[in-house]
Amino acid sequence: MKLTPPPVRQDTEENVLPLINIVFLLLIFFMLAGTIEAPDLFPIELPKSVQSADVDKSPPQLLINADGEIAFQQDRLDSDRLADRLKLEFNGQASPMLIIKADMATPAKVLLDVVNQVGDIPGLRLTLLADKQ
Amino acid sequence: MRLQEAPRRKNIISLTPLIDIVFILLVFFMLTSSFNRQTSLDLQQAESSQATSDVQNYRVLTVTGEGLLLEDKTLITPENLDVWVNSAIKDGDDIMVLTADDSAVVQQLMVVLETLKPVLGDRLSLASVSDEVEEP
Repeated sequence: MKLTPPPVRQDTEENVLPLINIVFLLLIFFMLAGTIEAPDLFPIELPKSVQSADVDKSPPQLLINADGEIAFQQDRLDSDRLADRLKLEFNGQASPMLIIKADMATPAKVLLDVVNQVGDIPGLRLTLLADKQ
Repeated sequence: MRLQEAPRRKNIISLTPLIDIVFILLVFFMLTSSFNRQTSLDLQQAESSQATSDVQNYRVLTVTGEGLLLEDKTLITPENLDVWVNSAIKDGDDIMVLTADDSAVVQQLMVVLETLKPVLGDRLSLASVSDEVEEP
């Protein structure tokens, strides 16, 4: 009886090389194309905008979620304490700037109330963040 | 003369730990990377209710869940907003004070703002309902 010889086992490291190439390419893509951000205190889905404007994300951010909860610098704040906290933050700054990161489902009145409250801070520039469509 | 076959060079570094590390890095970057392109819109609040009431020519616009409500209770739907802005208020010198009612959300305010802002510029101000200016 003639038996067929068992198939020759190929070198596994040679088979893995194309996989490594692809994985390296994916890694480089994600490293270069993506931006890494610290997670926010609560999830926020930004409103959509068709405008395109450069965003400077270095100024402090004020978060407002869909339930109207407010957070600043990773601290939850009552709306009563907001103005005092921001005055403390921007005290003595020549041209203070605040980025407002509000959920698209946040009641607009809440956002306008916040804008109204921080209106006393002299020279404060407010910017509303949005996702570009 | 029969030559001996040269000994095959063995890989000194094993690839398995390298693949492990690269996979871990890949998973990390896939989970933490964000590809959303973001934009921003400058907000300008009404300086104060007193200052606003000193201005004679102003109009209060209210963002609602259905669109933009004018002072005469006319409703401008989001689809007609562009036409209305360019025909009705582009060439005027009125200050527009934008407020919102309970049914409006930030997305609707955003749509109105990004339509009005390029046309009105500094003539557009925001005010909360409590600051709503009264008729002169």
